[in-house]
Amino acid sequence: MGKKSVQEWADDVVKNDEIDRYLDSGKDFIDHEAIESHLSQNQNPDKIKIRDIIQKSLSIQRLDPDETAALLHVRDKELREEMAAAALEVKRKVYDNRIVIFAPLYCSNVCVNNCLYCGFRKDNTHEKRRVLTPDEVRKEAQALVKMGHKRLIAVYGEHPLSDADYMAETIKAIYEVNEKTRKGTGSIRRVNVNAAPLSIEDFKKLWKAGIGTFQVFQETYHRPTYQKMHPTGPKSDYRWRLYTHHRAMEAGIDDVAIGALFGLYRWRYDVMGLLYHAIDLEEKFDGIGPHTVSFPRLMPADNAPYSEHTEHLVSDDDFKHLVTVLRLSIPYTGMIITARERPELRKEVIKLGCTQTDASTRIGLGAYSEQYDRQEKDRQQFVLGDTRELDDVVRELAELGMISSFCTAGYRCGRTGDKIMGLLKCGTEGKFCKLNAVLTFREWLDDFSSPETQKIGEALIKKEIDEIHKDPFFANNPLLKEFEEYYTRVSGGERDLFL
Amino acid sequence: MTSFYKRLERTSCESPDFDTFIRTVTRLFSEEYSCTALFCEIFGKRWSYLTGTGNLPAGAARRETFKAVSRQFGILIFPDPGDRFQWESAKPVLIHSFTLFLDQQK
Repeated sequence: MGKKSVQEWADDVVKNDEIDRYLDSGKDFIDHEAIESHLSQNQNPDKIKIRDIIQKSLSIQRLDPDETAALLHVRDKELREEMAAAALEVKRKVYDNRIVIFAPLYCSNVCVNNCLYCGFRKDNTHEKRRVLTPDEVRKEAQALVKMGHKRLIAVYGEHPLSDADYMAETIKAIYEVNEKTRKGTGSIRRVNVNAAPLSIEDFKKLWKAGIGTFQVFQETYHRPTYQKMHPTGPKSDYRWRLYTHHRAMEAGIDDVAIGALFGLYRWRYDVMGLLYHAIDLEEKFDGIGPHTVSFPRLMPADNAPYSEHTEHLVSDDDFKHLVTVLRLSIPYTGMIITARERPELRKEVIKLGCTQTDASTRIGLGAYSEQYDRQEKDRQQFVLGDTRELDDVVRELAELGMISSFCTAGYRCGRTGDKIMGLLKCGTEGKFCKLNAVLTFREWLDDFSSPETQKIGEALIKKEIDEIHKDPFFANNPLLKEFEEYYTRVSGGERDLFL
Repeated sequence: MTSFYKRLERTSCESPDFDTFIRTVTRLFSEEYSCTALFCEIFGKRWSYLTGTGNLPAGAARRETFKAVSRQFGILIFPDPGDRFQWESAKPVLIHSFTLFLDQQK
């Protein structure tokens, strides 16, 4: 059999039987009428109702669509402040005060799709196209390890040159990297993937390669807008994308990440879409909801006119509110704020209950090892708002009283899928988060920090250890003894000890 | 060879299938060392459980790895029995048994 053309490959991507099996009586889980109805019926929610909803969220219960719709319409300043405070409290209950740090690694920017807002779209002839070889990917990973990163998200365009086999090969290449550091050694311990929807068979390839989380965003849950934004290619199939996470779960990948690109359609609608997505995953997979939720805002992209002329741009205030509502609506899930946003806004939003952020981010192909000092629009998907070094981000978080965590323990201890969901909902996972955050922060301070960051970091680590000793959860708990032993060993130069 | 390793070897011969073998080995660990043993398959750096449902102290468990039929496996043992458990004596038996059972599954 001859090799398929790119078009033939693209035409074969969507497998209808891997959509239909998840539908309920032929319908998908985005009930447009129900979403509009919830939104229109909750335009003026009363304070008592809102405060009851906040209490429900504080007990780490996922909210119902009606409750989320009510939160979305809160305009009262005082009430919004109460919600913001509750959002941070929810995050502390579930994840303590740690922020997981990661970096994106763009492996390819070839794409068969034509998303109107994206710099990688097929018809953008300005874009310099490239598929990194496994060796080039390894060099990128080495550069990131030398900065102190332990967790990556590898990003791929949808194209036969960067198919599932290529992804698996590059994941393996990343895991092979091992670099000497000031006091120990460094490596990438968890590779997550952001890529186009795959078939179950292809997901199994990523599973075998050792993927952490699979992330794909629906962009917008509003179907007519989705069709307008994604005119051609496999991505034009709304339902193929909508059920990506279901297929990943069926293939064994039980950490999946959802998201919406805010700015394509009404932001309240897409928050509701994310909630419906989480609910359907919970219902179909024994309570396993999304591992993380992302909420990128549309940013200018090279030669992608829609990115600069959308009628649905989200203001900073609305953006902060939607993050708060997401935090309260799906209390157990991780929430990711990225370097798309400018530093001052990121600093504010992170206090609304975010759990992960990227740092020292570059999104050009080969940018970490070849062109670290500048952004190049014609090699990027969009323009970044925050290009600060990892050391600067870690220091700023420490100044906010938040500990940067490089922890990757969960998926090496069986804490994925339903296991981690149970632990998150009862608050136990947060205890592990705290211990592992301290261990990995100790590593990072010793291996990578500047003197300025080291100073504030030492004070923070002392405070964290004091809190651990005072926490009743750890009293008479053998975990504490293990932690103390590990901390001593890590301080002596041993690496990758976790609980 | 102490009784534990002899029993391990016998289990390998007497188990009708992979699941029974793993279940019996797990029981042996419990009886001999009062510890829990969990088998995993390792993909990249992820440890995926073949047995059990994950366990809270798994991070602090002793970890040993072995390869069978080109696949990477690991065993988590907690609490660590220390020198009482000699991995080098158990490893060949596990590799042999895993190879046998995985070949049967093909």
